[in-house]
Amino acid sequence: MSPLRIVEEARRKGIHMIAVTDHNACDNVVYAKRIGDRMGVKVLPGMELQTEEEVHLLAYFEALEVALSFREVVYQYLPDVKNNPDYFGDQVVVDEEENVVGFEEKLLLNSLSLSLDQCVQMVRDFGGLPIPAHVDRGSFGVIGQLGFIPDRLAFEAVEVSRATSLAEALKTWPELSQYTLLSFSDAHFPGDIGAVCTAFYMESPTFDEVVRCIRGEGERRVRIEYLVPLRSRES
Amino acid sequence: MRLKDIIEGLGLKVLAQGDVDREVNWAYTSDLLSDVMAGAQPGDLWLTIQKHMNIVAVAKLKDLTGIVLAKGIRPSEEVVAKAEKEGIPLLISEYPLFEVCGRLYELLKEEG
Repeated sequence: MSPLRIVEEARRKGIHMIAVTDHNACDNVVYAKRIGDRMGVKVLPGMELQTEEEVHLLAYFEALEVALSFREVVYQYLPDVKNNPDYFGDQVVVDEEENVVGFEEKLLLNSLSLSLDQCVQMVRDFGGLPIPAHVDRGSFGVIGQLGFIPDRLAFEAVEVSRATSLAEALKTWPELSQYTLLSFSDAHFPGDIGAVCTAFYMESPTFDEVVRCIRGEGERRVRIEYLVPLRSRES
Repeated sequence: MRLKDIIEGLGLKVLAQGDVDREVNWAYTSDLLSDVMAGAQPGDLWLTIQKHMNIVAVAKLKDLTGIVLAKGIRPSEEVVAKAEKEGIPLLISEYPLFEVCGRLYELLKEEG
């Protein structure tokens, strides 16, 4: 799944805006963003952090440079364990022409030595938007790991995986109604890109407008759209 | 067996006081808080390496007799203060989780 392949797939499916959120990493966003700028697909820089409680937290940033400096800080909290490509595959960085331009040596699937609370604070300190990922999932979701979403973290939005409809999620966890609910494809293969989308009714495809949509400012709002209907996906 | 006998028997360090005279029925071990909410019984002592703030709320909600953090894991001062305030005994064992469980199992079994 190279940056070029990702952006091409998004464009083919008519998706105007994507976020690339590698696990505890950010290097591929550099190239995805260049390709996106060329092809007219807006690429939001981000990361998926794995906290010490094994909670997955999405972090989005307005500017690539900010995301990269955030990554530098977070990297220090990634345990110094080397990746073994025989088990986990190579952790590659791929450029616009699909050349492998780098390998990440540290094992990215580890947890950071940072608590969820610390991660949320750090993302906000960098002006970013923290969103707990796939809260409906038993593993790596905040509810599964921590029993419930701590109020004090004051999330504005949470993400529900494409395995669960919003109606089902709200029935199981009524407390989710206090958040703006988003759903993203969490695509690990090109074919999964856009399997579920969140439509942002915004003035322009910018980070700032995404935040304003989540807050429901003015006429702005979000709506979940399934390119592949939930039911038919099961068969 | 009362909690204070377990504290003594296992050599636990007490971070936050609570009702140490309370009877411990049995124990539950898990680091997934959703699993503790689903599986732990009132009166259980909870053994874990999870030190997030939510442990206090879960222990309170499930009416557990206390929380034992294994491997010498120290929670933040905030968690200790919260446990103190909620009256949830917060204890530390220097042993790894497996060993704390084994030792506690022996104690509770002896009791019959």
